[in-house]
Amino acid sequence: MNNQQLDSNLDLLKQITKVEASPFLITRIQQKINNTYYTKLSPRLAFGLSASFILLVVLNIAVIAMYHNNTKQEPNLVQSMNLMPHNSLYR
Amino acid sequence: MTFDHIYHTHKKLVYNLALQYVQNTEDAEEITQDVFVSIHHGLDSFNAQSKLSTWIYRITINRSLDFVKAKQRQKRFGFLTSLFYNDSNDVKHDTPHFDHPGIQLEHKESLAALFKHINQLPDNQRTALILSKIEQQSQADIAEVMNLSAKAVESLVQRAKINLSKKLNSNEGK
Repeated sequence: MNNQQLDSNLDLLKQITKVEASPFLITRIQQKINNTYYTKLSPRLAFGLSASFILLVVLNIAVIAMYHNNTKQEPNLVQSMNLMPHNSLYR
Repeated sequence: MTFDHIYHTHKKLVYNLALQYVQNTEDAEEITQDVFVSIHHGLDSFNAQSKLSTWIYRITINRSLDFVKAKQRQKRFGFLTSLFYNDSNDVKHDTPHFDHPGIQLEHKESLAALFKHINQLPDNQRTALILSKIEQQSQADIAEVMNLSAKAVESLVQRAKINLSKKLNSNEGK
């Protein structure tokens, strides 16, 4: 295909006419805009929410770990202070 | 400037430009909706230094190219799923059909063939060709929309024509 043929082919593109969009398009656009208002989450708010969630999880893990450490130390404390680990006096 | 005013003055521009990328009314309407939602959200941050129409052109081009890429991904995914789920005869992922309302019936066949090759061009060559040959924008306007120099636009159109010629030649050879 030479340049002339290509140009005549491309000239066909100039014959494409402009058309009107559907008159109902504006209603659908307005509906979409309203929907995005409800679902819109700003990046700052999303970051804040996820950061506080991660902090909550980390705090929970830390508290559980501390609790486990304390329960392990408990018998050592009882032994070192010569305490009775039960309430029965006549055993 | 209100959103309603922008919609009524630019709806034809957006819809027709989207049509040149997807060549069917359903997809063009979907792109038009997305473009105007983006315009609505970005109106406050719109930089008045550039022309409003240039800004709208840019949004429409980007949305159209994104839409086309998403459709292609969907098509590839459809092919993969059809390999695993071949027990159903239902069409899970429909292929885009050529339904351009701005094309007269007598040119439909030849323009469908031409668009098939235009759609295979790289994004920037395709955009330059659409803006210059269909939208009939001046080189300076295209340069502003594409954020390029006028010479770069000229070179893009030339490369697009060379690539098209090659594709049409190879098609004739088949």
